[in-house]
Amino acid sequence: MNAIVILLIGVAVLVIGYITYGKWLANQWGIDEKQVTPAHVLQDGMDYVPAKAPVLLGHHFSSIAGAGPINGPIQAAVFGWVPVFLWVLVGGIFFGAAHDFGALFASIRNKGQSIGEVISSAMGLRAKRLFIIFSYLTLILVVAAFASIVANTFMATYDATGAVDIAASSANASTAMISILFIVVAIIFGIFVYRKNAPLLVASVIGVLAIIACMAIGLHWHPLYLSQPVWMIIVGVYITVASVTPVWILLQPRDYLSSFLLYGMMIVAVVGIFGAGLTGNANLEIPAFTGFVDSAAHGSGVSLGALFPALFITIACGAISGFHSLVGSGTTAKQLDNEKDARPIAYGGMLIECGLAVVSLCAVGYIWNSYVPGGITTPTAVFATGISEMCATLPILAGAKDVIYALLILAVSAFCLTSLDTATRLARYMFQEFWLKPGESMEDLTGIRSFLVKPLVATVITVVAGVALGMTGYAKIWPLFGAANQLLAALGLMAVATWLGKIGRNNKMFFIPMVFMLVVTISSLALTIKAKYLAWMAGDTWAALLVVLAVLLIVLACVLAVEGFRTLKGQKN
Amino acid sequence: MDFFKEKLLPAYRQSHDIMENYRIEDTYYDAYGFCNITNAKYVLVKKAELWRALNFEHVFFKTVDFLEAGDVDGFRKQLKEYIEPNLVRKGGKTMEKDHMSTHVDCIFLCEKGIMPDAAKAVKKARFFKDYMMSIRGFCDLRVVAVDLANGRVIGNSAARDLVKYYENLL
Repeated sequence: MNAIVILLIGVAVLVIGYITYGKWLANQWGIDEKQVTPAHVLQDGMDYVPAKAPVLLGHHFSSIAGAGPINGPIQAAVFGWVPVFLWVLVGGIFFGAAHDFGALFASIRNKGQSIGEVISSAMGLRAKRLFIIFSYLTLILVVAAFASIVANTFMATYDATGAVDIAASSANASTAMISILFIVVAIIFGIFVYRKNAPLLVASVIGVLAIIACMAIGLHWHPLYLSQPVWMIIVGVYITVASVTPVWILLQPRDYLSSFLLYGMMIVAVVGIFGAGLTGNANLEIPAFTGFVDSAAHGSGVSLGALFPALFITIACGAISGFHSLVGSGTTAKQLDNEKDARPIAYGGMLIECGLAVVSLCAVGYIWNSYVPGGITTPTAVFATGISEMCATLPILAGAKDVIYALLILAVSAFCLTSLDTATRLARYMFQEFWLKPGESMEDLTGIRSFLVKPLVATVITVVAGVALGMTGYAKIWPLFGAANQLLAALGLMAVATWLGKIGRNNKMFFIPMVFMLVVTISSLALTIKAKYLAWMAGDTWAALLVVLAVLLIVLACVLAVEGFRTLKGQKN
Repeated sequence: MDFFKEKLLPAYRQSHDIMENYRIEDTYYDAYGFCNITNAKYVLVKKAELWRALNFEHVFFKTVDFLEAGDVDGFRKQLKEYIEPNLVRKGGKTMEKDHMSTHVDCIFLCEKGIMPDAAKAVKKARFFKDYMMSIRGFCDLRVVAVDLANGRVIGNSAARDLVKYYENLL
C-alpha cells in the first residue's frame, strides 16, 4: 500500500467528517453565531477575553498536540495498518473530536464554566477523594510511560562484553545532546525576551537558528553514553526542576520554541510522504492485517495481546484521550469570540491530531521491515527514522537524512518533556489537594501533612513513584497507562453526555462511544490483572504492583462513573 | 488639547488604577498609575492551577517645562531608595511567590522641550533588579520623555515598546 494513498484518504475522510458529522453535531446542539459568547458577556480583561479563531486554534492545538498521536499508532501497528487506520478515523470523528466539541459547546452555554467546575462544585467529598486518587494514579502512569520513552530514546547500547557500543549508540547519544542543548537555548531565549526585552520576532528567528545550531553540534559532538536507568534518573531530576521552576525561566520559552518544532515536524512529515510518493518510493512494507492477537514478534518484544481491547487503549491521543481532554485548554470556552468558531477549534483541532496519527502510521509502515526484527525500538526513533528515510528519497534532501532525523526526534522528545511537566504539576496539585479537609487551605496544615504538601516534597514523591514505575520499561507500562487514560476518556464522555442532556440538547451520539470506551478499558484492565497476576506468581515482583494498580483503577472508575452520573443527573439547568 | 488630561490619562485609566497629584516624600507627580496582570494555567477547575505569573506596572507621570538630566537622575535615586523597597517589594526582603516582572515607568511630559544632556540621561537610564536569581522575577525601569513642543518621543532601551505606543498616541 502506498503512503500517499493512506494519507490522502485519511485527510479526505477527516475533512468529510468535519464537514458532515461536525456540522450535524453543530446543528443538533444549536450552535448559533448570533448568540453572544461568555467572552463578550463576561468580558473582564482577565479570563474572559475574546480571541480570534486562528489564534485560539493555535493555542488549543499546541496544548493538546504531543507525543501521544505518535507513540500510540506506532505501537499498535503490530496489528497491521488497517485496524490502526480505521480506529484513528472512526475514533477521531465519532469519539474524540465529538467529545472535545461537546465539552466546549456545553461550557460556552454555561457562562464558560468547564464541566470540571460544575462537577467539582456538586461532588461529595468521597467522590472528590476518589477522583483525586484515580487521576493521581493515571498521572503517575503518564510520568512513567513518557519518562521511559525519553530515557529509551537517549540510552546507550551495550555489546556482549557489557561495554558501550559507540557506533550503535551514536544516534541516541546525538539525540540526548541535542535535547540538552535545546533546553539551554530555551532558557537563554527566555532571558533575552523577558529580561532583555528583545523583540519577539528577532528573538524567534535567532531561536530557530539556535535550534539548528544545536542539531549541528549534537550530531558531531555527543559525549554522553549512559544506560536507561541513569537516563531515567536524569529525566526525573529534570522534570522535578522543571515543574517547580517559574514558568518564564524554562517552561514558557521551551514550549514557545517547541511550537516551531511542531509545525516544522508536520511540514517535514508531509514533504517526506509526498516526496517519497513523487519519486515512486512510498510503498509501505507493513501488512494490512497481521491477526487478532499480537505475537510479540516485533521491536518492543512485549505482546499487546488481543486486538480487542489493545488497539483502542494503545491509540489514545490520535483518536480519543482522557488525559488530552483533561489538559486541553481550560480557557478556550472563556475566549471564544463566536459560537461558530467552536467547530473548527475543538472538533477541527482534534481531527488535526488524527492527521498526525495517520502520518505516524505511514512512518512505521515505511520501515516495517527494520522495526519488526528489533532494529529500531522506541516509537520516537521509529517515527523519526521512517519520515527521514522518506524525505531522503527526494534528491534535494538525500544528504539531509541525519539532520531531519535529529529535528524529528528533538520535536517528539520535546513534546514528551512538555507532557511530563504538565503531568507532574497536575499530579503535584492532586497530591496536595488529597491531604486537605473541606474548608482547609495548605497554610492551615500542621505536622506530617504540612510537610507532604510542600511543593518540592509533593513533586519529588510524584517523580520518584513515576520514575520507579517507568524503570520497568514503557512497553509494560503503556497498556496500563492506556487503560487509565481511556477510562478518563470514558468518564469525560459520560460527563459531556449527561451535561448536554441537562441543558436539553441531543446527547445520544455519546452513548455508543461512552459504553464502548468503558467496555474496552475495563476489559483491558481485567486482562492486565490476569496477565500480571500470572507473572507475579511466576516470580515477577513488579507485576504485583501493576496488579494492584489495575485493580484500583477498575474499582475507582466504576465508583466514579456511578457518582459522576448521579451528580450530573441531579444538576439543575 | 491638554495631551495629558484628555488623551493620556483616559487611555491609562482603562487598565490602570490612577491617583492624581501623587506625592512621594518631597516630590509631586501629576499622576501615579498601577496595573497588575496575572497569567495562570489551570486544569478543569481554577483551583487546579499548574502555574501562575504575576506582572505589575507602576507608572509615574511628571510634567516639566524643559527636561533636565537632574530630573532623570532624581527619579532613579528615588526609585532605588523609596519606590522599589516600598511600592515594589512592599517592605519585604524579596518579591512574592509567582512574581514574574515589575516595570517602573517614568513618563516625563515636556511642555517646551528636552535638554541635550537630559536626552542622553534618558537613553542611558538603567535600573534592573533580580529577585532570588530570577526565581522571584525582576524589576526594571522604563523612562520615556515626550517632547510635546516638537512632537518627538525618546526612551531608554527597556522602553522600546512604550516609545512606539507614545508615538502612536501623539
